[in-house]
Parts: sequence; C-alpha cells; structure tokens
Amino acid sequence: MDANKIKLSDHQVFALAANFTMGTSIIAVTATIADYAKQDAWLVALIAPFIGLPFIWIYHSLMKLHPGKTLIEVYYAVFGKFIGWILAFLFSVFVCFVSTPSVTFYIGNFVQTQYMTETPLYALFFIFVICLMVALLYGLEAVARSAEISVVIVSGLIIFAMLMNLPNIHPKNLMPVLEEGFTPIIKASIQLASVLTWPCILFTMFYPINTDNTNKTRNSLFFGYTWGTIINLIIVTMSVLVLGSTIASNSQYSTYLMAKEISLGVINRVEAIISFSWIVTETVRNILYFYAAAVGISRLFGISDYKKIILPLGLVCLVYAGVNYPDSYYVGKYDTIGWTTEIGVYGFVLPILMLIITKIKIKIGRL
Amino acid sequence: MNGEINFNVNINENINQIKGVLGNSNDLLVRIFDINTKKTVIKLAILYISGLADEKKLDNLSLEFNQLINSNNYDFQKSLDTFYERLKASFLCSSKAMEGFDYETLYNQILSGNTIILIDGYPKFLIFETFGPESRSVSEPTSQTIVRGPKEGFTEKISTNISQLRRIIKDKSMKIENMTIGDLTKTSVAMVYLDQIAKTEIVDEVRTRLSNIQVDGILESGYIEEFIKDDPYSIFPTVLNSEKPDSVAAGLLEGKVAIVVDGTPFVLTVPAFFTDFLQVSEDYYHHFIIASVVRIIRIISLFLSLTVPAIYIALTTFHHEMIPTPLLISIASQREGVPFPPFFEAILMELTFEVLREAGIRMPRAIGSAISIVGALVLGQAAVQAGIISAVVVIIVSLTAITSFAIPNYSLSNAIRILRFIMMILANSFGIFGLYVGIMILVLHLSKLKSIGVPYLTPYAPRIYRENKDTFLRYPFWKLNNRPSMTSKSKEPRIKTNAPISGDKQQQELK
Amino acid sequence: MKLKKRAFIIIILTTMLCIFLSGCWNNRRIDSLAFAISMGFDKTDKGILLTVEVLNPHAIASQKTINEPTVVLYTEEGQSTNELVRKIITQSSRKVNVTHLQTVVFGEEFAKEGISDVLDYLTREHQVRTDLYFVVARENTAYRILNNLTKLDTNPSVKLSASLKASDETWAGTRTVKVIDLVNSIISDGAEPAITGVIMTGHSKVDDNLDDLKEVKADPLKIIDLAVFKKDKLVGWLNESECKGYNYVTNHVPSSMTYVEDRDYGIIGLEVIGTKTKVEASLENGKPIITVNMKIRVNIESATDKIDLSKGDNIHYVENLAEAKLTKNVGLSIMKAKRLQSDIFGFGDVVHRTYPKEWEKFKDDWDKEFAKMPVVIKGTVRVVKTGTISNSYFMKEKK
Repeated sequence: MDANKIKLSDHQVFALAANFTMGTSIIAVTATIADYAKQDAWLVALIAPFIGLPFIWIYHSLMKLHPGKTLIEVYYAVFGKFIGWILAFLFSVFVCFVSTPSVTFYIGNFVQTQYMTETPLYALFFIFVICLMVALLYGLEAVARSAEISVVIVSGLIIFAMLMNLPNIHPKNLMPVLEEGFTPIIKASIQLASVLTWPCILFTMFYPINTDNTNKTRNSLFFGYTWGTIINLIIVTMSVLVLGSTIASNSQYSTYLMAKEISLGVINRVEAIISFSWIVTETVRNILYFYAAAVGISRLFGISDYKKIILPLGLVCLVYAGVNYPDSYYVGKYDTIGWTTEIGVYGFVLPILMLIITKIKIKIGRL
Repeated sequence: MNGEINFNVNINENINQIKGVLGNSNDLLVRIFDINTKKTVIKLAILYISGLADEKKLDNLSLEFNQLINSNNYDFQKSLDTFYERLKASFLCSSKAMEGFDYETLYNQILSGNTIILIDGYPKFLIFETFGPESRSVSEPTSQTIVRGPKEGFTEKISTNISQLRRIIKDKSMKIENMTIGDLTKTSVAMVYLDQIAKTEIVDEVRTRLSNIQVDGILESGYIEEFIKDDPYSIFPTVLNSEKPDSVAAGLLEGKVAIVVDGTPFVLTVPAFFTDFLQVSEDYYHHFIIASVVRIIRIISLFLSLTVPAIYIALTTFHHEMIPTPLLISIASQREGVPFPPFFEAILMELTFEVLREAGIRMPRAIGSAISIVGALVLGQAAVQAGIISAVVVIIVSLTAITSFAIPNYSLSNAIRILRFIMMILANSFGIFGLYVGIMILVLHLSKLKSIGVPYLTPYAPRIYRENKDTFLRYPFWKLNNRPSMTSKSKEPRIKTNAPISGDKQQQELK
Repeated sequence: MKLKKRAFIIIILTTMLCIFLSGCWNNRRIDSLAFAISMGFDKTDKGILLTVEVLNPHAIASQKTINEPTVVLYTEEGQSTNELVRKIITQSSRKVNVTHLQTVVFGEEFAKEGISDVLDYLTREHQVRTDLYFVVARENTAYRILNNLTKLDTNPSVKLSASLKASDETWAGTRTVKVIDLVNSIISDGAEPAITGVIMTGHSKVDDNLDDLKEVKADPLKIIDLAVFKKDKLVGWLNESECKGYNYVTNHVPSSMTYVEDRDYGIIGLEVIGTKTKVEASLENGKPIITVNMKIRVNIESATDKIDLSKGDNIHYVENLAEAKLTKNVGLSIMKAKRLQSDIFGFGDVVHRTYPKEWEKFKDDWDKEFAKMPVVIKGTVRVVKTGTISNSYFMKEKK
C-alpha cells in the first residue's frame, strides 16, 4: 500500500504532534475554559499536559503490542471481524470524517465573522478544501515536512505576539486563585482534554506504519504534545491577564481580541500574526483528520490506495461543511456535550478497554 | 555495421566514396602525399574538415609528418603491417592516435573534427584528435557577477571546462565519465564527481537517467535538465546551473555530481536544494557576519518579491483596518481619481514591467536608451499624473522588481515571477486568506519536490540537526565540520580544527 | 491518466469561475468608503442621536490648499446604533467604515441614562477595534463637541485622541480609558468606571467657518475633569485635584508636574518621576479597612531664591509639604467618590482578592459599604534631584 512507503523522522512526528495540538487551542479553547473556570483558566491549561501524557502513553503501548497495524486493524484484532469493522467504521466516519468539515467550518466562520461578512461560506470553504485535497495528493511526507517548517514559524510568531502584549497585562486579573475550589477546574479540564488530548488517538492512524515505532517516537509524541500545551498555556494565561476572565469567556475569538491590543509604537494592528498562525496550524490539523478518514475508509472497504478516494471525499466535505452546524447555538451545544462524549468514547474508554483486552489475549496466548 | 567488411583498400576509391557520402562540401580537405621508402612509394592521405580541426594541432601534425617523410629510416623488407605499426607508434605529439577499420567510425570521427590518415592498400586507418574549432576564450561570466572571487567562467568547449575543474580539485578521487547524448548532435557530456564523497546511489541514478535519454539533439544543458528532473511539471528548478568553476567545485566537494555539456558554459549540479539557489560563492569569501546578514536580506527579498503586490491588493481591497490611519488617508486621497480597482492596477503594472524586462533582454544594444526612457514614462510619474494608476502602485512594482533581482539564481527568480501573479489573483478573490492559502500550498509543493530522490527542502525539512549551519546564516569555517549528510557518504569531518588559527602559542597547545 | 487530466481541467475551470466571481461580495474600493474617526452619542426624544465625523482624504492629503473642510459631520436619530450607522448612507455617498474609529464621545445627558448598550455594539461589531478612547462631554452634547474645527491640526479628531494619549502619559490631572478596561470595570462588582471629561472653552459659536477661526483664538476643546459612573450611568464629576488624587491611588502617574506653596519659601515646582502605590485590605471586626501606601519620587523643577536647597532640612521640609498636598488630594477624591457612592478606585476588587470568602457578604451592597469604609492614606515623597542647578542663581549668598 502506498502509505507504507513513507518514513517519517522523529522530528517530523514531533512537528505533526505539536501542530495538531496547537491547532484548536490558539483561538477557540480559551473561551470554553474561561467560561467554566473564570480566572483559574491558567491552572486548567497548566494541568492539561499532565492529564494528557498518560493517554498518549496508553495509545503508544497499544500500538506497540500490535506492530505494523493502524487503529483499524487493531479494532479487527481485538474485537473480531464483525464488531471491529463496525467500530472502525464508526470511528473513521463519525470521528475523523466528520471532524474535517467541522474544522473547515471553524476556519470559514472565523474568516467570515472577522473580515468578510458578506462572503458566503461556501466560497471560503472552497479554497480550504482545495488546500486539503492538494495536501493529501502530495502525500504525508510533504505534509510532515511543511509541518516541520510551520512549527518553528508559528511558535516564533505566537511568542513574539505574546511578548508584544506584555505592557497590557493586569496581574490582578488572575486573582483570587482557586476562588471556587477545584470543581470548575476539573470540569474545564475535561472540556480541554476533549479538544487537546483525546483526538490524539488520530496519531495511531499514521505513526505505526510510517515510522519505526520505538521509544524515541513515543518521546517525540510527548514532546510535540507538551509543546502544544505549553503554547496553549501561554495563550490562555495572556488572554486572561489582558482581557479579564469575563471578556475572555464571552468573546468568541479571545486571542484575536487580545492581539488587537498590541500597540508598541509602530507595531500595532498586527493581529494578522495570530490569524496566520491559527490558520496554518488548523489546516495541518484538518489535513491529519482528512488523512485519517481517507486511510480508514480505504482500508475498511479494501481500496488499496487512499489517493483514489480523495476527490469524492473532498467534495462531500465541501458540501457537508455548510450543513454541519446550522447556527451558533448548535455549535455551543455540540462542542460541549456532543463532541466531548463522542471523543471520550473513542479516545478514553475504548483505548483502555483495548489495551486491557490485548493484554489478556496475550496472556491467554490467543493473539 | 555497414562497411566493416567492405573497407576499400584502394585509397583513391576510398577518398571518392568518402567525398560522395559527405556531400562534396568545400570544407572537407584531402591531402595526398607519398612517403618514399627504399623499395616502394607509399601513398598516404590526410582528411579533415577545415572548420572543425584545430589549426595549431594540424600544424604540429604536419611538422611531425615532415620529419617522418624526411627521416628515411624505413626499411621495408617487412610488410605494410609493420609500417603501419611503426607509423602509429612514432607519433609522440600531443594528439592522441587511435585506429579504426570501418566507415561508420570514419564518418563519425571526421565529423567530430578529427583527422584521418588513410594508407593505400591497408584496411585500417589512423585517427588523430584535432578537434578544436574556433570558440570563445575564457572570460568573465556574464550571468553571475561577483565582487570578490575568481572571474573566470566556463566556455563552450567541454575540454576547457573539465580542465578548469581539474585545476581546482587536484585529487585522484575526482572521476570523469564521458558519454555521448543525442543521435544527431552527438554532444559529449561528462559526469564529474568525487568518488570518496558522493553517494553511490545518487551517482548511479544520475548515470542511469543520462544514459536513458534518447533524443535527436542536445543543444544546451537545459535540455538535459528537463529530461532528468524529478518533477518535470513543477516550475521550481531542482537542478542548479552555474557558469563559475568555483561554485561547481564547491558543490563537488559536498558530494554533488556535475554534468558538463559541450556547447554551453552552463554546468549542471545535482542534487540541488532550495538553499543552493539562494547562495552565492561570494558568501564564502567575505566575513561570516556580513555574509549572514546579506543572506537574510536575500531571503527577505524572496519573500517580498512573492507577496508584496498581493499584500497591497488584499489590504486595500478587503482589510482596511490593517493599514495605519495616516497611510490610509494618503492612499485614499491618491485613489480618488483612479478608475481601476487596485487589482487591475497592480496586474497592469506588473505585466508592463514583465514586458519591459523581456524587451530589455532581447533588444539590440543600439536602442537601449530609448527603452529606458519609455520605461520610465510608463512606470513612473507620467502614468500617475495621467490618472491611470495611483502613486503607491508604482512604488509597489519597483519594490517587487528590485527584490526579484536580488535573488541570485535566475531560474528561481523566474519561478517566483509566475507565482507572484497567482498570489495576486488569490489575494483579489479571498483577501489575505487567499494569500495564506497560497503560501501554504506553495510550502506543501516545495516540501513534495525531490531532487534525485533527496527532498528539496533539506536541511529545513526533514530537519537534520547540526546541518543548518550553512543555510540562513553562514557559520564561520571552523564550525562547518561535516559535509551535508544527504549528499555525501563520507563521515569524516572536512575541517579538522575547532577554532580559528591564531598565532597564540598557548591556544595552539590547547588544541 | 485520463481521470487525472479531467479532474485537473475541472479544477482549473471552477477556480477560474471562483476567481472572477468571488471576492466581489466583500470587495470594497477605498474611495467608496467613509472612514469614521469619531462618534458621538446624545440623548434625544427619539432615542439616540448619532454624530459621525468622517474624513475627507482629498482635503487632508492634498498639497494645495483646498477650501474644503477636512472632516464632514453626519447625524442620524433613531433607536439602535447599528441601524443608525448604516442609515448614514442616505446622506453620504459612501458607506461608513468604523475600522479607524479613534474616539467615542458621550453627551452628559446620554451618559446619565447608561452607556452599556452602546458599549455592546462597540464590542460586538467586528470592525471596531479596541484602541478607542472614551470621553464624556461635560455640560454639553457630543454633537457640539464634534462640530468643532481647530487650527492646530487639520484633523480635529486625531488631535483629540493624540492629546488624550499624550496627556495620559504626562499629566496627572486627566485619565484615559479604553474599551477593555471600561467593560471590565462595569462588570466587576468591586469597581466602577471613570471616564475622561472634555469641555468646550472659547467662543460658543458653532459655525464651522474657516475665516472665523483664522484669527488666533484659544483652543476650544479641553480635556479636564473625570466623569464618575455607577455601573454604566453617570453620577458625578471629579475636578482636577480630585482627579489627581484618583490617579495616584490607582497608580497611574507615569510623570507629572506639580508644585508646593509655602509662606516663607514661595512656590516650588516639582516634577513627579515615579510613583508606586500599594493598596491593601485588612479586616477589623469583620469590616474591611483599606490602606493606601504611596511612594513618590520627585525632582525639583523650579525654586525661588528664598530657599537654600543645599541643606537637607530644607529638602525634608519640601518633602513634607508635598506629602501634605498629596494626602489632601487623595483624601478629597476619596471623599467625593464616597459621596457619590461609587467605588472608582477598585477597592472592592482588592478586598475580593485578599478575602474571597468575606467578599461574598459585601459584594451585593458594596456601594454603601464603600461609603462607610475607613481608608488609611500614607504618602511618602522623596526628592531625588534638583535639576541642573543646585541653588537658584538669584539667591543672594548669606555671608
């Protein structure tokens, strides 16, 4: 199969993981966390890596026990052909393939809200979907290499923007600490994990067959994930510091609002930095979702080369992106309740279950 | 092989046949003379094509012949065979002597500029290399000018080019493989590489690709470049061409393979990376800090030359909030009387500039000043005052033009020219997000490209640690320890000291 | 291969369609836009009177003198801000674009009714940026303030925002406010907003006649006073010395000039070069007490010939005078705020941060608590330098 020929290096895995994690966290995450945890949002962002690392370790050990297989084949091996097929189908369609138009909608919505209010959404979806299809046609190694370049540039830009914002901070926005105790923090971290950590199950679609799955790969995944969460921490902290928790929780794009505050002599009106970084990382995230969906669906139906079905999948995504979220009330509801439950099942419950079953099967000797 | 069996030993018939096949043209010269031996008279004929054979070599040849004729030490109890062998062995001059025995070789050799000596009654003939047509002498390369460094460039003769390379690298590991490509032009092409350093896979791959080229004629190295490119549909160059021997030698020392083509002074180097197109040999001859700053300026110019018109279109059409207020006021006042939208203005001016540039290259030198006057009018104040464009667009176009000239390699600059228009179109349709998507697709495309199997964007991506010392910045020489690992197989460091040499005895002891 | 070629062609065709058709939705030519520099809100019977001051770039950037005004004023009346902004197109040939808005002026009557609706429009509209300055027109309407031409700058609104910014940094008697701070102080239970005031001095004629102003006259607009709000309604004003006190308490004095007066020594001018204020809360019998600790560093900028500055005692005397004046100003401002029952200093937030549990008891009735709460003011002034000369040249040597 075509996907087998590409070998990713450790640094490329790091870059893909970092871009994936930074993707949603740059703009949309702050609002949800600040809503639950108010001024303790930074604590939530601080705890997030610690919650996430065990999960990545679980995914990695699961993949190590099934060498050379992607998640689809692991479903078959653990649950048997029939249930495994159903689960794999549900996973690749309802998690991966539905996320692609979702993320496309986020990007298009952002552009439409902030800049071009009268352009219809489909025109904006059109170029992003073309970008996705082109990226997949070029193959995963082109994506990995561009991710390497973009990690450096995006991290540099974000840190630069945050540094430029330092004169605007009000440290008293962070206090009092832990005013309402730990409960809101825990609720917010579950929300955060649904966006940052559990989608990392996607990594299991590409890295077992495209890299030498050693401990060094696991370390690169850790580093990538941790770097993404560090950037997330910086952004959340700065948002709360500059804007205050109420504004941060009510504004849809709080990082962008914060970037509008940058004004140091000549350097003002530079919020294009944040929008550029966000679009780049979100596109990499979208490409990975799309890739997982394409590989998953092609393996489920026995198509040998995932590149053949990119065009139909892309067209479906284009249309579905406009249909997926009818209005913003639905967006709020779905993201907090619907998506969290869904990814919780596939990213939290199932991998642990599969790991336990695999270990039992090895002990019995039936693997 | 036609004529192998039927080689005529009668010299007159031979000569008539040869003249007939080659078309009785005036430049095929035949000189017949006799050598008197004690017993017989042996007739010899010399044939060559006057335009292709080198005068000096012919003179040398004739001097030697004179000596031969007058030497009189041929005793011919023996046969023609011995005569032939002694004749062959007695030529010690600089021209090489070879032998042939069939018509195909004879025609090939005559048409390649060599001299043929036919001996009456003997089925073999001698071939002397006298190829040396009129050609340009070694002069300064015109397409790549530098301030400091050697000013000799390659010429159209492959032998001179290879000799220039040999003069720089005097090591026995430098291997030169000659081949002939092109059925009708029979152009000699040489592959040069350093055996110890270049990767065997790359060398083999280049050799295979070159030998698989089947074409009528190779006129310039550009033909070969298109045939052996990895991704022929991409406008980005993946093969570096250079007119300067020191650039090519530097590439050879890093493990690259050079392809020298007869008839053109542009020598190809494979595999080529994106950073190679932004580097000039002069970077290594100046101080490393200055070289690093200039390199950064070049990279900024590359980026500006690609995006400045697009940014202008995006900002003035969609995103007015990104322009500071005083500048916005001045742009708004300039646009008051202008009929066209910014996109149209920018495209019009860019196209005009491209036409000017093309006209500037092709026109005869005599009317050069006329072009500069007209150009200044069209792209300058007169157009602004006529109300066709606004003054800002003139500045944008000039900035774009200047930055595109700062890119050292012309092929890359050409690629950027085309892409600039695509970015402008994207910026007009989707604002600055079109530009973002355009840049992303460009980076994806560059990441996909490979040059003889090596990724194009090495060493940015895939990132190889410790090899980024020579890309954006140039680290001082004593830090550039290792050769790039993608193209060279040798693991030994190329620089064996760790610090600059100083006269300080203590420091030398510490090393 | 054939499929690839066909797909390629289809994509090219659709892209071409996209290029030539799309983008036309949001395509805006610059000369079809009217850039609004400032907006003013007033109360009328019909609801809101919106005044928009729009740039005329042709007049500003032109090199010849043109007899056109550099700004144009449009007004509309109605109920909802966003509708009014769009309605202005019925008067002007260009659509109003608020991306370069620099100041927002509230009329005094309007501010008494509440500004939070307008603030919601200003924060929700994507075009509006966050570096606006807010001012309240004292005893005036916003319409009259904006309907004013000055000679110092071709662009009066730019002048207003420039002088707001400059005075914020160099004069303690004024204070500027931007949208994020304003919104945060309105929402917070423990603080109230305070907005800069602007008055119109000079002649009261409202004709914008260029010839009239060709004679040199005093600048009609002056930034002075501070408007005190309770939540989002205007309740009172602080005058200049009270405003200074307010700035010192909230640690917002990058630099300023002041003076002290003495019977013997005359008037000594001081330049404030640094302030450090700490506000701390403590509980006594379950009731909060605020301690304000200020440390100020000054340079002596002008002295009379009656004081001998080489003696340490004299310097201490000057410092004591300055401390007395500082404490008096701060006391005045706190008393005025207490009378207006509006905690503009953010003392409530300090209590919230230090004693989050007790804050729950106070927070609903904080205005009354604030009015009764004792505040301890401690000020320390230190003279650092005396300028380039030590004693006045004009002082006679007492031999």
